[in-house]
Amino acid sequence: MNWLDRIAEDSGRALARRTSRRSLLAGLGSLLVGAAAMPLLPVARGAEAKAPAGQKPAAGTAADPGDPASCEYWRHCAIDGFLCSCCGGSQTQCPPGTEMSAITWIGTCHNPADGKDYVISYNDCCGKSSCGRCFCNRNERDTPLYQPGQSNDYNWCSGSTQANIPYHCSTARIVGTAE
Amino acid sequence: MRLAPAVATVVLALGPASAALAYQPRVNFQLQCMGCHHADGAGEEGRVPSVRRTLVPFSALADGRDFVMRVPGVAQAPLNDAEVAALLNWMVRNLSDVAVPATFVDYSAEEVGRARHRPLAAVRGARAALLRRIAE
Repeated sequence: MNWLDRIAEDSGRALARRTSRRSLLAGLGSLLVGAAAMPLLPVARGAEAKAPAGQKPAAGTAADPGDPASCEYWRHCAIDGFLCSCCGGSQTQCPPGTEMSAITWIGTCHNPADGKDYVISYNDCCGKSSCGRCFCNRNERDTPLYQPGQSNDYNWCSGSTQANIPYHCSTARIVGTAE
Repeated sequence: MRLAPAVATVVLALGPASAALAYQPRVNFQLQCMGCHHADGAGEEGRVPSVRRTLVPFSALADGRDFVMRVPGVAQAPLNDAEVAALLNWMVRNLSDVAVPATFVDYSAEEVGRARHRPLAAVRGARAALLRRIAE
């Protein structure tokens, strides 16, 4: 085993000649700090926010039951589009880099928690190309295109501050109870 | 079963408004109007007209009332005449920057029923003419 000993000794001495004793600490230290800083960079956060299935933006509560990232969520009874909850936003907030259209279409959905009907505003988020995640198409009380006020087939981004910017995803905001 | 078609005809004639739940005027505003006119009725400059400074003055003129009841959003709303009248009266009292005069006459179901079935084709022209009249 002499040859093995010789290789080990030679490489050990070569390493000792080439490097200082503190360089190991310096290298290890920067690696540790770098790894810790990584998730703070905007790119990494964006990637995390966009994580699809499994990432639930807000857990259901007793008064607002269900998963906002699911088509079956009660507020989505008349939605037609991509759920902002799956696209880096939530059922009430647009994802970063998009703008909420003020002109919107409005419907009513039944909340199973309290048995009441709620007026729901499906404001579109606009300014980026289609999100592509969690496409839902439930059409309770949806009207045909020639009754535009309550048709969910329109691209409601025409109501954003810059007309005709692209559609990204849809929110489902509560306006009030329908009584 | 000779009765069935007759029943179906009656149901169809009553339409979606009668079949749907009857909502308060505030909720009908949310469902039928707010999507475009916004919660305060101010609309969007250049796209959706505001009702805040026009509805009350228009309602004082015969031609203005006729216009209000015949604009597409009102005439074609899936609501019956009484619901439309209640909705307009709610809007007059809740969405106006102009004080409601003591002389204001409530919209009635009969009045709405007479007006809403006559199509108003030149909406913008009719509105512009009325705006000139209330500015005088």
